[in-house]
Amino acid sequence: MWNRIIKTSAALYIPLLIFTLVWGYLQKKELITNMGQIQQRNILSKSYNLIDQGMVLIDITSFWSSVTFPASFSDKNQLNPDFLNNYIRTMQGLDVYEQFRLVDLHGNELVRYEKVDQDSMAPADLQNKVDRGYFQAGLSLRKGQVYVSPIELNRENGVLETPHKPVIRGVTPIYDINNAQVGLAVINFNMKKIFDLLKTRISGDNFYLLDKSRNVITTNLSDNVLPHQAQMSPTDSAIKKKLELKKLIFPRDTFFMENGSLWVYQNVRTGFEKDVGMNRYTDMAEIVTDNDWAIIQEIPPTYIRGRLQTIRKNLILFNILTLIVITLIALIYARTQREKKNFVTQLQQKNKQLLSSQAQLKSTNELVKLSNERLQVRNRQLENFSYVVAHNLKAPVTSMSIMVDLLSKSKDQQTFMELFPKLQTISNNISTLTEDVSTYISILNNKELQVENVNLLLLLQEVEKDFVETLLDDDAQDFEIVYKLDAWHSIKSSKFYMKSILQNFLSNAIKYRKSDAPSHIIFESSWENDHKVLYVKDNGLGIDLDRHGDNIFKLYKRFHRNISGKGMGLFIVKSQLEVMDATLEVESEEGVGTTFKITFKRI
Amino acid sequence: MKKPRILLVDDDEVYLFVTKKILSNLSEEIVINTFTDGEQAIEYISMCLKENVPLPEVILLDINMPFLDGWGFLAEFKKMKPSLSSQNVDIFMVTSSDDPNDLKRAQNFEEITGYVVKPVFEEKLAEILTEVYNKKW
Repeated sequence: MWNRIIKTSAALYIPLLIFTLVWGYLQKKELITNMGQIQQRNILSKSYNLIDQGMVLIDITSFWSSVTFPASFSDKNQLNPDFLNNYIRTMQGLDVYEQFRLVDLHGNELVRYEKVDQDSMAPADLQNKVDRGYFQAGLSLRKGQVYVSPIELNRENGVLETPHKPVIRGVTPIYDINNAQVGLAVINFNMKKIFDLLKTRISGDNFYLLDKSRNVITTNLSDNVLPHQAQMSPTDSAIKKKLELKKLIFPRDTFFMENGSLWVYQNVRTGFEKDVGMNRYTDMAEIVTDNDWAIIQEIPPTYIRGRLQTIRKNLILFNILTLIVITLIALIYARTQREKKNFVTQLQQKNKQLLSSQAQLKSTNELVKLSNERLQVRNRQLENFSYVVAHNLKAPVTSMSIMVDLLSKSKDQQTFMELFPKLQTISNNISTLTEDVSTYISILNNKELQVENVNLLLLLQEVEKDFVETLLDDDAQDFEIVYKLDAWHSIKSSKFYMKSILQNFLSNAIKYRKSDAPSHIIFESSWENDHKVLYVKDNGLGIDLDRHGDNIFKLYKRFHRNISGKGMGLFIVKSQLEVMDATLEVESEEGVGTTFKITFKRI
Repeated sequence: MKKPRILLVDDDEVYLFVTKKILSNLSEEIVINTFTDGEQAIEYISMCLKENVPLPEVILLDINMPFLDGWGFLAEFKKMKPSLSSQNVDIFMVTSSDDPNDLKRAQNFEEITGYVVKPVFEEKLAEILTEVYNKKW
């Protein structure tokens, strides 16, 4: 029962489970794609912010390439102080604007302004920057070109400024009235503010800004900026390690799942839009830079899990409900199946009962049939008996009554003398008849017939011995007894009756043989329709069955005038056979011979 | 006048003796022939036909006899009937059997004039003879 329920449930549930899993997977994929696309849009806008910042820097820096400096510009021969003051006053309102410097071709700062407060700048001590990268890069610039430095931690006098300050520098060469290069203009932008902007989260996402060599410039997971330029904390190392993503071997704008997180990647390149000819950058200065940044935003597993929770909950709920429904269905199905099975079993049982009662009925039928056959035989025997009574028993009685009548009427002695001997005859007839009838009755009434397995061959040989004397007569020398008992030679019957029957047949065959030819009798056994059959064939005188057919087995019927006989033999044989459930048939032709066929209904 | 001829066919010798005696008592003129079975009777009749001997007018025929019984006799007699020409033979079944089957069977033979159950007393015989011979004369 339970086995069936579990099987049925599984058969129904597994496809549904597979369906829900596929559906869940598709939902998850769609959600992730959706999130990835949102993240991509977010990143794109962030990258524009960063690029715009760069553009502003370039714009402001390139201004200085078109300013005409006094000839032999140096600390001795300074720029117009009003012009410089106006410039600084304008620029100090720009919150990212951090430093402004003019450096001569030897790296010595000639002018230096630093941001000192929220919106005020002041001159500061001059330094030499001859060994700094941006200075060296600036020296190789042509007129009008602007160099954009990588984002770096600010150094003053060769030492990292604390707290660390991420800066980006714009550098452009400056020229005097004679169009001779007199130095470089260097402008520092403080990146802290733009970083803060970039680091804002829209959906629990982690933000990473990377440089060309995949160093973290800033991230919202750590307070450190550009840690590889200062001190890498364990957190920073872990972050760097975490960003070694297999699916990012070829850096292109994409999003993907790795280590349970959704990663969105976007390349950011200063001046990219200029390269593709976007309108708002048409008047841009020529940019020289090797900045190749990338923004990565990571949606961590916890957030994704949170978003997937609803889908998962729905799936689980759906599965539980389905499972309950399916189990109920399986339960009902199993119950119906069991009832069906019970019904079938009952049906089979009933069928079996029916079959057995049918068999009983059949055997009863056969019994009835058998008793019916016996009754018919019995009936025939009774008819025979009544025939005997009507014809044979009544005859002497009627004769007697008529004689008595005659005697009573006659007075003379002579009649009496004539009739008296006839009374003797009648008396003898009656006594013979009584004996014969009593023999017949004893056959009919033999209720407890002793039945045994009678070996026909042995019995025949025994009977044959009794006739030896007859056969030894001169006349009977050419009489042969033939046995063909291969089919069967043993029959369940009364040995006494069988002996009497065989004696009768043999005696008849001898009595009614042809005197002018060699004679024989053949006893032949065979099987016909599952019954044992015994043929007794002779080549004797034969009987005209057209004439005598009706009477052949009747009492006191004789068919051969010259041969002594009582007309009793075949009558007794037939009666004895009928008592043993055997039938007797005859075929005969005068002058050819007679064949008796005994069919034993009992095997 | 021709003498009446009667044929008795019965295997019961006592019956034959007694009947013969009764018939003689009735009329001394009656010519009586007796046979103890049907076969002999048939042989006699065929002999009569062959030798042009007049047939008996009356045959009292028993049913139950050896060799050829009353029915067998009737069957054979029927075969001879075409050669009987104008001669009329009245056959009476005279039997001790009061078996209804026998009576029924007898009614199917148009050759049979009557069916008499034994014992046949003098009166009955007289009645039969009267019936037969009154018809003729």
